[in-house]
Amino acid sequence: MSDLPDTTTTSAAAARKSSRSSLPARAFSFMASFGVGVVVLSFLLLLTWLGTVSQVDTSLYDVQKKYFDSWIFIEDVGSLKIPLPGAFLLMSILFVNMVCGGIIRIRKNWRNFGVVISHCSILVILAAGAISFYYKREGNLKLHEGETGSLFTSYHDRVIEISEVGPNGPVLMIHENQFSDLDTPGATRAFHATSLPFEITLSNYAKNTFAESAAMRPPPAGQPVIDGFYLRPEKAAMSAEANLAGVLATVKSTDGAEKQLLLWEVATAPVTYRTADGRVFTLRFKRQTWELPFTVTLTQFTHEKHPGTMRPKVFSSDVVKRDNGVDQPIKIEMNKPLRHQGYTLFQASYNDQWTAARPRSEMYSVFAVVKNPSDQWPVWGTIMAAVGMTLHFCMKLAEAISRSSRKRAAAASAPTAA
Amino acid sequence: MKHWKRLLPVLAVILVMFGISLGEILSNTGKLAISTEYKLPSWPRETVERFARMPVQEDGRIKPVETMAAYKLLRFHGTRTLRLKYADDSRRTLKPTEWLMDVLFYPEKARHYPLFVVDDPSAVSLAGITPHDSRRQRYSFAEVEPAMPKLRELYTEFSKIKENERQPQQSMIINLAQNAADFQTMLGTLDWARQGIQPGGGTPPPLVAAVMKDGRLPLSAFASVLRQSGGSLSFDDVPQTVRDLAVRSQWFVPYPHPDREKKEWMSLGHMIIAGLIAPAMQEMAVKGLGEWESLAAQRDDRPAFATTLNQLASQNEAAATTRGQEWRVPWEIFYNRADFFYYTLQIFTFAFLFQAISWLVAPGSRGSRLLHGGTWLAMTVGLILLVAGMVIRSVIMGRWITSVVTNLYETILFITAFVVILGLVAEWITRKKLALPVTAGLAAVGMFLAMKHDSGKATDTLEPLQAVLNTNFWLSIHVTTINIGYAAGLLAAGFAAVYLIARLFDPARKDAEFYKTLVGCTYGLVCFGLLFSLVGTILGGLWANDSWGRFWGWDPKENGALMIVLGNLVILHARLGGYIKEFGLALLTLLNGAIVAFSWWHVNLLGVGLHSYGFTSGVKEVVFIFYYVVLGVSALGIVAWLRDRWYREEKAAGSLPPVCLVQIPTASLVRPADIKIASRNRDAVSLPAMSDLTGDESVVREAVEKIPGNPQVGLAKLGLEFTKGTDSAEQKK
Repeated sequence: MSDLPDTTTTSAAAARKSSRSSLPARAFSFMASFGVGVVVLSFLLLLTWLGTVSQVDTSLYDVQKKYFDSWIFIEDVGSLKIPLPGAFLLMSILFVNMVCGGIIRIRKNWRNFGVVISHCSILVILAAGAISFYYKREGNLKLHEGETGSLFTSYHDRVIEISEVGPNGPVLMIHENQFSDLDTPGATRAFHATSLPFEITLSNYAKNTFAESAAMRPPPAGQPVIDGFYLRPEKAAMSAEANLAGVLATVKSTDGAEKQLLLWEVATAPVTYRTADGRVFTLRFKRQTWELPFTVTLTQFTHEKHPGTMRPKVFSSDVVKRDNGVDQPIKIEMNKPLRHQGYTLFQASYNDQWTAARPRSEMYSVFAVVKNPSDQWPVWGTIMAAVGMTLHFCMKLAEAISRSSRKRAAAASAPTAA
Repeated sequence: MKHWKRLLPVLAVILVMFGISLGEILSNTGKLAISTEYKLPSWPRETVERFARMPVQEDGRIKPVETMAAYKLLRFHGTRTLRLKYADDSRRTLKPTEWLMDVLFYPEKARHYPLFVVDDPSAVSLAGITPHDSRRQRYSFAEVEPAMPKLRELYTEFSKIKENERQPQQSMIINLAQNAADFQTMLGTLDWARQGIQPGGGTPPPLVAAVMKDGRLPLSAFASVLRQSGGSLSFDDVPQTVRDLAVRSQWFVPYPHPDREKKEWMSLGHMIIAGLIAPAMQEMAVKGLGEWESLAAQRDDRPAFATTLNQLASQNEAAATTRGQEWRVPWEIFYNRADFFYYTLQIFTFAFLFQAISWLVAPGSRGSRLLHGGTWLAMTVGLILLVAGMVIRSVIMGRWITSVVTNLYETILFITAFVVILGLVAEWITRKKLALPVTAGLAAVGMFLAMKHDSGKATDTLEPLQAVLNTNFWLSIHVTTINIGYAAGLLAAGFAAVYLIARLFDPARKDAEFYKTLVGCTYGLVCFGLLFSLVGTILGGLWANDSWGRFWGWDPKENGALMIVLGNLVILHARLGGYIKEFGLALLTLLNGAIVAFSWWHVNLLGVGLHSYGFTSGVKEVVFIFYYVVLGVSALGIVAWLRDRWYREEKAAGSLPPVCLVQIPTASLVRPADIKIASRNRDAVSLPAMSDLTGDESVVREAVEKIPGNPQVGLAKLGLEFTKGTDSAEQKK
């Protein structure tokens, strides 16, 4: 095994040298230091642990938002509220730290070759993560047997889609993250567009809610009732996909007339609004959808269980992909997705209520659809990491073995010499 | 013998391990005597063997009856052997197959066997059962049966409580209720074969009357009559009594389906119903049901019983062979009988003892070399057995032999195997006789845990794979890689723990090579662990990207793996930056061992995430014990470190000015302690115990050269050097 080289002297020398350098040089030296790396990695370790144990009573989506998709967050420890760095901040610092220390400042010699490759691999993976976070689209596509589809629906992203009835189609999309902070009483935000003959003000956003009939259950004081219904907030679901969001919209026309509308994502039909000049608009609060550049037809879904058990053995979908008029039959199953034109379709789930009593037309298969520009970057990162670290640690191991052999040889020859 | 004190903690661990084993053994003895009325002669060995090898389908796979019986007995009884002690002081030891044969063919006696293990007498009191006078006693079904209504009531009540919030007694009641209900079903498996049915509706038709025996109609005869008359019943016409009898024998599935396309085999219950409602299967059913009826009737005529059993088993084996499913059974019988992992546990324990004893004999002596060689041999043989067992499991399950890890039980085996491989490599490199005992100790603990997990879970550990895991490629590369990372982390933690404990008992650290080897092994394993944890974690991401459509989802198991990677990175970078040295490296590596345990087991206890394939019930206590051990050893290490630091400062304050290192004039008095004092705030450098020295430079140099390791390094660490022609050492900085 390896001996431990003494690194204290070099660190101390570097520190002395640093104290005599200019401010940018000192800043670089600081950002390249092991100290920053160790602190950031330690915080990441703490953060990962917190984000893991929190999943017991919080949905994964909310945990991700709090710990991993944040720059800073507040952790409640008993009555204490402790601000801590979020994963965005930590990973950004780590990225800079590795570039400065692990790529630029590190001695460029053959002994460190593997280390540099390893650092590069982690940079690739971090970059892939950042690109994925900002540019990835993911949702699902549900198909019954024999059905063709190309529109996939987001798991979490919601929009208010305002369309004018007629050939114009959607005229304004308001993304949920532009109003998801309006969950406190009195908080409002106005939106207007040149293409709209009215202004829309949103309020009373609720992440998980139920459109309750005021006649069935009287609303709490101060809760607006619209057309006999009000939004009754519910506890956030453990699975974020199960949340049903709602928001109130106040539409103000150019003549100053106001009308309140209740937007709930489960509403079976869009809310309509007629302007004074007779134009009709629809407002729909819904999960965001995107179009695939090709179509997929489900020809057959197969679900096999291990004999005598309820344990799934295989579930797969036979589909036909049609692109530019060319049909291609493909089987999508667990661990074997369909990749095409930057999109990937995975076998995600299915309707497991298939019984003899129900017609096959009610059976369906659900595909997860992902478009991720950095989809395959981690593969390259993995190869680099494996090569770099293997190289480095093999050299260290060879040194240790050689040193150990030399010592044994010296020990063996010592009595002879004496 | 010089460092015998170092052995104390090791010996303490051995004693504790043997204490636990002894406790286990003792807990399984001391049975209450049962009446001779329930005594049975032993089954002939050949008959038992024939029944044991008969293939059945259970939990989605084909296995021999022996395996099925073993896990049922293990679940009910806590062990795979049932020892009966009769009132006349005679004894009978039942292996699983013999016990199952008693249950099937002599249920009136088997119901009196002390079967159900209950750890706490107060639990059975809750159900109104008279408790036995000691802990971990076995209760017969005859004792439990009157309390079954109450047990059902308690079961309903306690099942509403979350599993991780239940009191131990409540869990025991739930287990007992389930086990008693299952056993009750088993006892009634062949009721139909023994009793037939009582035809209702007045005088039976002549065809039926002709085949009735003692006023009852055997089901094979019923099916035969239907077949002869060219008819069959609709399912709704099947009498409720017959349906009830069929339900009781549904768990026993010995018949390959005649339609080879159908993967589900037929149970005895299916056979009963098929004989009455499916004309195409009546011939097979009449024959099959008749054979079981014959077996039930011939139970006391052992030769006739053996003949019928042989006929029945041969047919089923032939049918299984035509489906290509029978070949696994002999492999599994071999695997069961070889008991690889039990012997591996014994061998690793002996390896540890060999090495421990070798420390007590003179170093370099023939005895020492023999014992050390014995340790090597035992570890190697144990490893071969362990790997052989794992490979045979893969063969039985029809997987690649590299896909040896598919559930939590197999992770224990695999990690133990890799701990041994890594330990042997470490010993081969260092040759200090240190890596072997640490490895042997950990390997023995690993196999002990595997055994406890198997008996605690008490369900077949050879499980068919979930759809998402059903890929040899990813199982071979991701799962193995990540588990090698776990193995390295745990072995590194083992070395670190030994280092910290040794520091506590050895303040002088006289044998510097000992500590250097430990730290070197720890460091090497942290590097190795980082490589495999990192690559394994990223490979897991790639697999997830192919299965679930995302590289990383912050799932608890993914996070656990990431935590190990981060832990290793913190250790290595903190050391590179000079923030930690030997002690810090050991302490952080030990704590990283707790992170490995968190990732390996604890995340499954959280009950969330996509990786919930593993069984976790009952392991919470073990995981927390591990955490406490890690924290305890860490605390002891910190105490040792503080003590050493305090000692150095105390001595320094009392004898020399803080800035003075050491002055060594000609003919002055030089004491080892002076040099030690001079080394404060740096690595302590021990000198061999010796009396005070006086003398010139050569005398002092001779003393300093006794510093273990390279004297020049030792001097440099002190900031001293000898200048030729002078007689003093100067401070360089």
